[in-house]
Amino acid sequence: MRETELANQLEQTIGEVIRGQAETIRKVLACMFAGGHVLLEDFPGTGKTTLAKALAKAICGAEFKRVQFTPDLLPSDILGVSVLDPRSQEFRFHKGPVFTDILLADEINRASPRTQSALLEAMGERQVSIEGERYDLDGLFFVIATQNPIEFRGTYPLPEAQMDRFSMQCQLGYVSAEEEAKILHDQVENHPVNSIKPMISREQILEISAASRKIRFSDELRHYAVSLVGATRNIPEVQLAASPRASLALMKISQVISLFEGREFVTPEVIQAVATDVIAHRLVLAPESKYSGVNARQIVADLIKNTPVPI
Amino acid sequence: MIHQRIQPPPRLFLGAALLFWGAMAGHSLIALILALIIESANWIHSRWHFNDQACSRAWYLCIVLTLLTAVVIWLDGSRYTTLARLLTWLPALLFPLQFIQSFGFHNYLSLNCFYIFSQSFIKRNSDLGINQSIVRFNFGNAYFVAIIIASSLSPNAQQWIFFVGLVILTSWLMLANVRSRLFAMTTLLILAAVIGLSGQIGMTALYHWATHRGLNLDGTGNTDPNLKITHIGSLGAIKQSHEMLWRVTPKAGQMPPRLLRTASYNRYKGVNWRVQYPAPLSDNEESYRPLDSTDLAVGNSFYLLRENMIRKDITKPLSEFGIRGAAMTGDPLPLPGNTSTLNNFLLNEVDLNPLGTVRIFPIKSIIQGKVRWNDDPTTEAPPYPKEDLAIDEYEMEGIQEVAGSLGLKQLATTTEKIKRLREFFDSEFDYTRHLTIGRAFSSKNRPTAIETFLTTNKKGHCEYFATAAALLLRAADVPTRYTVGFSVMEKNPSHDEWIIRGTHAHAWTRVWNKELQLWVDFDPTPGGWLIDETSGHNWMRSFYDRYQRIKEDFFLWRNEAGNRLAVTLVMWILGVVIVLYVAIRLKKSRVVVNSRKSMRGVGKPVIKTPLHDLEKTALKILGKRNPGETFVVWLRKLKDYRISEAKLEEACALHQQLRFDPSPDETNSEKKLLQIARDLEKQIKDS
Repeated sequence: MRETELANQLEQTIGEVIRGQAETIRKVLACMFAGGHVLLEDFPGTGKTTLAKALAKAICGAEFKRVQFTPDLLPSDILGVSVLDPRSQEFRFHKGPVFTDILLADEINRASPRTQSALLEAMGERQVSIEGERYDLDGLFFVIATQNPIEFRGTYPLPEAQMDRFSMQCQLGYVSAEEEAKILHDQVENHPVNSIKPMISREQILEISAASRKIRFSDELRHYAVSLVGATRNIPEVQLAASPRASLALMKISQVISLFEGREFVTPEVIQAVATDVIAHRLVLAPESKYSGVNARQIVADLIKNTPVPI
Repeated sequence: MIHQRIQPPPRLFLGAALLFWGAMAGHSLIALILALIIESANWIHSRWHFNDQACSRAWYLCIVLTLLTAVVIWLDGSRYTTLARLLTWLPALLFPLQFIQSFGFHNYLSLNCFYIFSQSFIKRNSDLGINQSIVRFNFGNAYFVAIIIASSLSPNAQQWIFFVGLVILTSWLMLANVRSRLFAMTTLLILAAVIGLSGQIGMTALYHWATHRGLNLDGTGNTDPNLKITHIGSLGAIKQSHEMLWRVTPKAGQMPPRLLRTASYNRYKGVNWRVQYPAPLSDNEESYRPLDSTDLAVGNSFYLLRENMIRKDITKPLSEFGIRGAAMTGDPLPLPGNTSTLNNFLLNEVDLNPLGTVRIFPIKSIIQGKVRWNDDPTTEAPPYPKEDLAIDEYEMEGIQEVAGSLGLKQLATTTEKIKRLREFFDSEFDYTRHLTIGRAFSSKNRPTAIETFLTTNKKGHCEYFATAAALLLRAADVPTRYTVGFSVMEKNPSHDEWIIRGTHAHAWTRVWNKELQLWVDFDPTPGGWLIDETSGHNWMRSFYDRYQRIKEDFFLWRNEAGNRLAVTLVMWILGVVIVLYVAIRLKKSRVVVNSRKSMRGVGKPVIKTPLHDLEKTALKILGKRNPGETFVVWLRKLKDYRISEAKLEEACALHQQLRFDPSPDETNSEKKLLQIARDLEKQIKDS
């Protein structure tokens, strides 16, 4: 398949810049092709921003914008604002950074929930409503948000509704010593991200997206995906379980990953491979279980282990 | 950070271990029930969402059960073995935790469930953003250790079968967890078994060697009716417990006996007294004569203590006292020398040796009953001409010197000899519990400890006086025996009873009065010792007395026929209520896990590929598949068993296509897969 080849080429190109993160790169790309958004949660310096930049550079004609979220950031700083033009005596709308192809929302949990919520409509509906006017966003609107996990002071956890808008939450993690040495070698003269040539057009991305939707998904696996997501609703440790939006994301992401693997149908292995990243961040744990060291990823991992899978 | 050790024990292992415990501890029925419950988790599909809170609750339940059991065991009267007996119940006491582990959805418990403060500690850490480490472990392994501890403390653990069972269980657990390096592991296990066995044999041999050398390793502090290790020749103060041992209640208007004998000995060797019989009766055990009980009325059994007694002796008017206290199997019972009958005691057996020592084998650990005494004849047989006059050669010279200076031999009657000796001890000797005559344990050099006591030191405790008196009387041709027991001296006015404590332990002599043809008590210790022993009352002692009195009285009350039924009934009702409560709570939150192992063909006829036929063969190598493990991932593990990787991958891909592609392209893929599957099956069987 041509789309498989293209997708793999894009993955490879980015992989040359972001070393040792092949799996995460594939997941981020999968989110983009599935028309979703991704939340990267990891320690500072693991390459979250570089990943977003590399992606933007590899796409021919793609616009890339970055917003550094701070506590005093306002919704209008993201969406845009109407300003009175003194000459025409009319309000003119200045588009905010949200009007772009790839938006990097850096350290998203440093802004207040009010500002975080400004992204809700944009991420969910691909449109922005300001002062009664509706502005459509580009077909390729992809949000990569990052947050640091350990800094609890001065951060505002993302609202549940916002969390649900992200198809996946991925972790980059530290790379092996060998890979890290390669990173050092790459950057002796200049940053490899600068040498990335645009290699895929926006149209091609939309083509891959369309092709992925044709990947076959059997009835049985549909039931399996639903039972996985549904299982989160019967656990006492979980206060707020995963929504049907999660099942939908699980299906779409599995389709894209299958496309990456060059298969025309989805297998249960693929669903299991992405389920934790797709489901875990949507769960809100009961306080007592949170304090007893249980985390959402673990709960989902246990569910995968215990939910009967089609064989 | 999470640390995990969650490798569970193999299937059926815990059940087998529980049965082993049941056989060792003699609780086979309970063990069988527990084993069935735990192993039924393999077939029953009911599960519960046990979280950390449930685990904490189970742990508290275990603690409550343990405390209750400890109280019951303690009330049962075992003074020294409460902890050991409690530990033998460990598998039953920790059962709630294992239940949670077996019937929960996780295969681990968190360690923090076991600490009350841990939850709040973790909450605080979480609030402050401090990274914390959480330890998780599979409780099955800990449970196995508990089972082994309990089994090793059980009554049957002395038998060889315990060691065999231990080796088998340990091997099972280790070999099941280690799939590779089987040879090395087996060698290691055999080595460990040999070391363990030789260790056990060695320790037993050492124990026998040590006990035969006369070291008292028993640790129970009870009187051995065949050997009395004295303090003669040792230095320092004698320490005795103030614990209340017996309570004596004389019949209204009567006095209790002054001396209660536990055991008599007739041979002084080294510094210890032991029992020695004339030639035909060499074995001490054989010398004991079991006593018959005579029932006068229901529940009123009499033991006649003298050989020539007849039934009508029972009805003779005699003095009587009640006695109550703790006794273990084979303990000698403190009785006056001229006891006639024992009645109302709940005993399995009573036996008597020719020296008059009465051993009892009680049914319960606290006994009570009535003793009739003050008859003329005594329980002892007449003296042995040789043994009851023997004096060791290294004592001989010193003793004869002193006996000669007192002119004992020249006195006509036994009574006069006793009188002369009493005057001698009363006028020249002092009683002290602080010993200053030091002689090495087995030293036979002169002057001996007794000689020093008689000639120069003239200070000592009752053992010195009794030993010296016995030897001096023997030197004057009077058969004399050394006797240990208690002096009845402390009256408790509020309860009209006499208390016998560890500090009232005493030693005196039994002297054969030739004129009367009777054994009589002769206590050579100067009277001043009574004051010495009873001084030093304190509030701790009175508190402890009260506590012990309540414990003993409750125990005896509980074991009375009527009360016993009531207590059992209350315990049963309590137990049933608790079990019902737990069962109802569990029933409400029950989750039935899908009984099918897979979701093969939901809403459609089952799709079956040729690879499915491989499942049975592969099961033997790979073991059970988790419900959440996909067939392909499970089969790929075959790579470790020298199965062709390329073939396996091809088969998996074809299987996936046939199974999960709603509109597969290739029509001949099923044929191809059939071919490969057959090939693989052959390879698996060969490997």
